Amino acid sequence: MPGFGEIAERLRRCTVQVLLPGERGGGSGIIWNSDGVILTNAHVARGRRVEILLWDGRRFPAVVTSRDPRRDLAALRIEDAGALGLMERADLASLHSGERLAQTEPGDSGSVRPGERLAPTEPGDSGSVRPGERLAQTEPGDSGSVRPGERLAQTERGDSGSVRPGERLAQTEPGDSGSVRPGERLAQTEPGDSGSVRPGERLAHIQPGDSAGVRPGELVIAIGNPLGFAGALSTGVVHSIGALPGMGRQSWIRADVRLAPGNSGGPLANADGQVIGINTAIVNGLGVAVPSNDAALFLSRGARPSLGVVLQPVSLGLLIREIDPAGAAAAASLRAGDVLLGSFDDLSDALDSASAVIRLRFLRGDRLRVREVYVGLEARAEAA
Amino acid sequence: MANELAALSNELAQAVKQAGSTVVAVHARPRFSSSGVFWRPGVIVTAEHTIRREEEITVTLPDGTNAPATLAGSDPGTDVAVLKVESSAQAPIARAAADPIPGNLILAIGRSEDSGVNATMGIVSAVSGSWRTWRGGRLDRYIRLDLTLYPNSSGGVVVNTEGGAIGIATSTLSRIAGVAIPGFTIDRVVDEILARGRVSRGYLGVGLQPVELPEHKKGLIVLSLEPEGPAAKAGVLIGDILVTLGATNVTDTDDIQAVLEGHAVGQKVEAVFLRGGDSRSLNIVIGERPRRS
Repeated sequence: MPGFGEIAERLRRCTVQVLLPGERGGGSGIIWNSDGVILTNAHVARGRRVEILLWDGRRFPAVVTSRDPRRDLAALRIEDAGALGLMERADLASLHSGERLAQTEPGDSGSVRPGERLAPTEPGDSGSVRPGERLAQTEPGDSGSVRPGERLAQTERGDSGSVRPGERLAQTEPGDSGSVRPGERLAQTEPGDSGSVRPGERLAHIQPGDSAGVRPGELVIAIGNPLGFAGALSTGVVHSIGALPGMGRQSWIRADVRLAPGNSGGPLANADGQVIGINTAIVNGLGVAVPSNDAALFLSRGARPSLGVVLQPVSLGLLIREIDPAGAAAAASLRAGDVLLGSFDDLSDALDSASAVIRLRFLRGDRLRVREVYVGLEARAEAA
Repeated sequence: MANELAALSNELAQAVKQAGSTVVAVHARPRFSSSGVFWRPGVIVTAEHTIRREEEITVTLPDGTNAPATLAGSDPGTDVAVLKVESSAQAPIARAAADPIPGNLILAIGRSEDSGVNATMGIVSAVSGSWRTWRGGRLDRYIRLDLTLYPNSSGGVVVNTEGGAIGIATSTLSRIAGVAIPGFTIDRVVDEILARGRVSRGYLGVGLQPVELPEHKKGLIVLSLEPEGPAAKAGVLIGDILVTLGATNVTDTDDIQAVLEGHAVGQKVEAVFLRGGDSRSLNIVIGERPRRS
């Protein structure tokens, strides 16, 4: 029976920092399976290439193999994993979704980002705290003078293994059967993973939980790198499960845990240490996580179709603020400044309808003329 | 992989499920709904400060349907409002078997129309005896909560890990923390509201300030007087020093409230004043505190 400290430490070792080269700050990521697929938020993995910092201080360049900006999920793969002996099966099926996604998401600038959507739709009760602003904070690039990624880089680089989390655990939990060292315990609890968390060998990965069974009141553990504190843990309970106003019909897990910028992309786990969500945003002080079942769906089926636009709700409909030149909307000659008619929910439904072509009605300029375009979607949600 | 943590987690989720089946969302203010709980069959209690309109109040019942509710009455002093609904089939919440003590794990359970039941967890951070709120009411116990109350959860029920109700949560009675309005106080207010439609409070119509008297005695000097108020009608003057009310020595304004709580509106109470060095006794007919507008 694993104790709380062991559950937390195992999760911590499956949680990575996701750093963008040349940018300040960073987010978190989850080592999802034994193939070394790392899951994070799309708003964390903004570029094609990122850098991964493991719990033990090792750094690896990684490529973004797929992004679903509508669900705010992205999958990463450590580039030279095979050479490092990290993933023996790096050439196996896990890469399929990546290849498919490479097609569907040619650029990284596209897409509907949650921050923009949330800002106008949830004005917030306590005036000063608006969801949009919090979300803006959760995007690592915004955290002005604080430079979490770099600070961490310094602290981890200098020690070269002298302050490893495993040892810290041993120190901080003297009552926890001191003779058993964390590494050994980990080897026991993950028999399928050929044990061990020693550098140079295979990565420890999380156990996904069934997010459909999550109930309000369950204990949860969140791990991430808030404000640059690597592997920081906070606990709480599931607050509620359901849709967020103005964010479409998709369901989110809201948790009463303390999160901060840098937690994005990190795991939200239940009392068994199974990951039930991916921490994504802070809305009215509550942590908001993508359910793990949605993440599993994303990994198995790839990203859902998207228009490649950044939208902002306006009185008439949805204003296109930015457009990805390589996206489906641009291919249908939509431009920034056009206003799509209809609600965000309607648009989400159309995109998820599994048809390759959707019809959009929009306004251009002040002529109040409605035009229609057929948007061909390169990616299709595959039939189940 | 059963562990103690998972067992606790399961217990908490069970408590939320059980208690949550009596918790409703209350739609009586703009933007954010609040929460309420079936306290008796057909009777919902919620936090008074979340009721911003007296008509067209609806509640989202535990089964997800919306139903109209009528405001039976409210008591701003204790921040309790009482709603009535036609749904008598709904079972009320079970009460906690034991009094809360500091350190007890507790859950605040609310409901919103969009995402159903919601919960936050924390501990009881302090419990003390009878406590007068800044709004003038009296709680039979002061139960301070160390948990986060989100806008939707004011008026929701505070339960222990067995799902038994300790009281209802309010964020407005204390600046530093959420407070649970104790079950006993809710019972008292609900009884009075259902019987009379409101909670009436005794009223003298005087503004008082504690003063030191010779020989280490204390009294309350009348600094202001409501014209045509109960005290003015009885002949009290500004500058009089009140020393006893209803045979109780009074040295603090809380003493006045305590005496008034023991006397019904309309009853006579004897007041002894010092005026110009002489002691004189007056009978004041207790009036009813005017409602806040």
